[in-house]
Amino acid sequence: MSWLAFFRPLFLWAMLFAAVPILIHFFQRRRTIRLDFSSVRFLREAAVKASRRKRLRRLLLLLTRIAIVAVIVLLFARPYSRFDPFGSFRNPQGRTFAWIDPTISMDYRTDAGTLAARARQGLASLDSTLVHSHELMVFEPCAGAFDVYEPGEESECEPVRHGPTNLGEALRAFRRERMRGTQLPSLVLFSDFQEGTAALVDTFLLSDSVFYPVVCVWLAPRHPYNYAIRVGGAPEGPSPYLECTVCATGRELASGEVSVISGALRTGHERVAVPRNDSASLRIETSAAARNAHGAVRLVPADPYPHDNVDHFVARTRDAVRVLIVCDDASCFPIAAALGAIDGSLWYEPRTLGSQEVRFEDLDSADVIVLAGLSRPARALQALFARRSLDAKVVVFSPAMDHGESSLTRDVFRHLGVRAAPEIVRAESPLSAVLPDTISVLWRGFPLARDRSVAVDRYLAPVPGDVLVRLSNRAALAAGTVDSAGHCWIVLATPLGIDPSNNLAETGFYVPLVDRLLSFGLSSVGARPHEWIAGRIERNPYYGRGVGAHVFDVNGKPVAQWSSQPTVGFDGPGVFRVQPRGEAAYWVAVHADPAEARLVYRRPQPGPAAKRFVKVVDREGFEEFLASIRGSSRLNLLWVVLGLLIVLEILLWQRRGRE
Amino acid sequence: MNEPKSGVSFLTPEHLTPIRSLNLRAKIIVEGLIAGLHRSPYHGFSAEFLEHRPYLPGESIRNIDWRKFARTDRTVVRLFEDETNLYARILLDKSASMGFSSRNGMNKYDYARTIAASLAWIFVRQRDAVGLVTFDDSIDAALPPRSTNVQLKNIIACLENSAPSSATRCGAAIDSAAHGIHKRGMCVLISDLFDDPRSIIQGLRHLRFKRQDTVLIWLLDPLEVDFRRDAPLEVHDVESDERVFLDGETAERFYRRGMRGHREQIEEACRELEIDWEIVTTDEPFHGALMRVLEKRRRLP
Repeated sequence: MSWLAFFRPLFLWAMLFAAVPILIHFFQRRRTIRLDFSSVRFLREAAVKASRRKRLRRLLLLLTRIAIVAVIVLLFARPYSRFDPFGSFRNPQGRTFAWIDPTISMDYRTDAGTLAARARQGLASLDSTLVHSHELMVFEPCAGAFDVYEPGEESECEPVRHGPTNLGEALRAFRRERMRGTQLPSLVLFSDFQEGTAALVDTFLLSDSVFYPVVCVWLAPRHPYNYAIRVGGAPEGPSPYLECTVCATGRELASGEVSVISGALRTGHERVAVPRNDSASLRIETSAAARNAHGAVRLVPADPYPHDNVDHFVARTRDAVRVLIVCDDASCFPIAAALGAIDGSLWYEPRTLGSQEVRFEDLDSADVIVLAGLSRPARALQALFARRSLDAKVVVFSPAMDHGESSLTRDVFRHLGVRAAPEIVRAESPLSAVLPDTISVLWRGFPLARDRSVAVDRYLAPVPGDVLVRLSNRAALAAGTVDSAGHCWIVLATPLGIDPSNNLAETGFYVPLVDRLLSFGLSSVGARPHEWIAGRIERNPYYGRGVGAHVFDVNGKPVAQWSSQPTVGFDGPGVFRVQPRGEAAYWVAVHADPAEARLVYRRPQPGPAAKRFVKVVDREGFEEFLASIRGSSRLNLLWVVLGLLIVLEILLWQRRGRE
Repeated sequence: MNEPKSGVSFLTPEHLTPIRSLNLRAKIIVEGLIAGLHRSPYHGFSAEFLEHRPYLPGESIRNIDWRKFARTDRTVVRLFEDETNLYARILLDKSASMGFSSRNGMNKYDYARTIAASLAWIFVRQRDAVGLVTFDDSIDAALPPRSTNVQLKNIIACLENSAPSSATRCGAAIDSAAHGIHKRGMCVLISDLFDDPRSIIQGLRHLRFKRQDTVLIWLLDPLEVDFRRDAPLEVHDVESDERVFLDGETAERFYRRGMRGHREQIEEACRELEIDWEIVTTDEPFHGALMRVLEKRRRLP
């Protein structure tokens, strides 16, 4: 009977009542009396048989009464099979935790309403199916925790929201709740299970020891289709064109219309037709009003998923890069000067800090970190060697050559996988800088493939990474590599600042070299171009700088204040004006998350161990599942058995009375 | 109906059990019975006129001598002289089952021989010839009918010296006793009849064939008449030493059913053979039982 378990095992103590009929039976049992009688001729065989039958009947009556007590106790104790993991949905003391996918992909409209509405209907059905005392909890995204489900009560949170799925948060809350209760909980996930969500569920099912029932209600539409528009390039300067891409997924767009809206004006217009599962690029000529402002492109006709039918753009948008130069002396000032010489709008004014002044926040708020001529490692710089402590950065390492090889150099080289200690090589004759090839990403902007004005006397060798610039003796002048933390390290073989070992800062090669090295680094870490996606958490661009910014919507209504918080984000798509304190305001366009519109769905695939406890059903399958919960065959069987036992008891009792 | 007076009211088995002498017991019963009758119209079994006596209120008017009344205008009753022309035999069952008693009082055999002694007393007192046959599975003792006082003493001595024993073969014994009868007469059979009814009927039929006016006193213990037991029983047959285990309710049900069938067969046969039968239980007062038997005889045509 190891398969049998009880929802309310304490009721099994009531089995002691089964002793009552036994005691009554034994109390009623009388002592056999010996009777010397004149003749037993009338008491022979038939009487003996009847007496045996009667004894058997009495025993049967006793067993029936015991069985009645046992069945009643079982009905109270609510048995279930351990082999039926979904039996816990029938547990009167059980708890079921439900999560409804809040991402905007759930806003996909079907004939039966949006997916989110269908999920809420499913939740209401589940609530009406469960036993009254069974607790149904639903994840409240605003509170970040599960709360008791109240039918008809409107949640304070929006049914769908922009941003990534909060499934991870919900699963963590579920784990906490699971630890809290004694009863085995159940988990119901309502989602369209887009690729990312399904993968997350798979990971959860693999990582967690799933021995409790999980029902994944798969709400994905049967034949999904979507038309989407995305701005590719905004009109900039004198360019009158706005570039955008129209995609048709799942169904052909026979005749569409794209309008450019700037303020209250329609400043551009184009017709478009896109084959099924294809895209079309458009260059829409816009009026002058749109070129210096911001606006939106709108695609008609609408489709089941409306969030990507409008996209926003901001003309002349540029997001500057923040550079932190860590240097202990004045030798590094040419680096900052070079950045200023390249393009003032591209780079914020670099900050220069001593190695002992640097804090974690300084590193975190910078896009590019230049470590120039440091001989001693600073404690804060250790964060660059640690995984997952910082977002991907571009780190330019310029070694110190004055006092020989430094400990920081050893640390950097070891971090980048060079076990052997680098040697300082003294050139017999000054070496010039040579680009490694003509197709290099560094090529554009360089005046010459070889600059003979450069003279490098001393350099480190070997330098870890792919060679970006060589010396004339084919030794590496600069090499780039991406470490395990995602940082792009650009390591120079010779100092980048003023140093006796080279004359880089005195040549015309210097500014393009700094510009191209940093551009290469930024492209390697994907830092540019930056896009704001609604709901996505981004690093606060003002974090650690001591200045903040106010954010206003297109109507001038304040929507956020960015100050010292490390991360910021926009709740929805649109155009917003950022007003930094003491700096010029600029506009940002926030796009809807294109990942939500991909319409790529996948059923969660539990591993072999979790397969028994995980049920993946569509909406109709979920209704069938609920029907199976309602009609608990085991309990119904017990009721039938109880009825039969009572009938048997009555028959035996009546027969006994007749006798 | 003549009700026994206070003088005979204590002639119950309980009262008479301490009296060991059967002779005395029978004398008390018979004298008590006669005293209780108090000028009773009973005048034995003969038909010879003896005298007249005054009619007493309460007596049946059938006994009034209407001719005398017509002549003298007095209501008188005719009494008859006894005769010794009746040959009576008392057939007494002395099987082991007759020794059964459900109470501590008198068992069936004691009761039966008391009845037998009383009847013998009455017969002898009426100058009828009376004999005794005791039997169990066969005839044990047989005293041919005589009407002398010595015969009475012999009968009582025989009764006193006998005890219940052995199994019942009532039918065969009656049949065997009937073989020895050659004269027309009367037989009083006292038995519990715990035997195969077919053989009993066969014996009764044989008695009737021998022109015996037969009276059957079916003597039973109260428990044999009304078998009531609730508790489980281990029933021990005193004759066969057989043991049966069964619960009280089932025993009661089956005993009653069996007894009813047995009784119906015997009664049916008695009606057919014109045999008087009377069921007597051992808790009844003797005079009541005897009165019923005698009353039945008196009403015969």
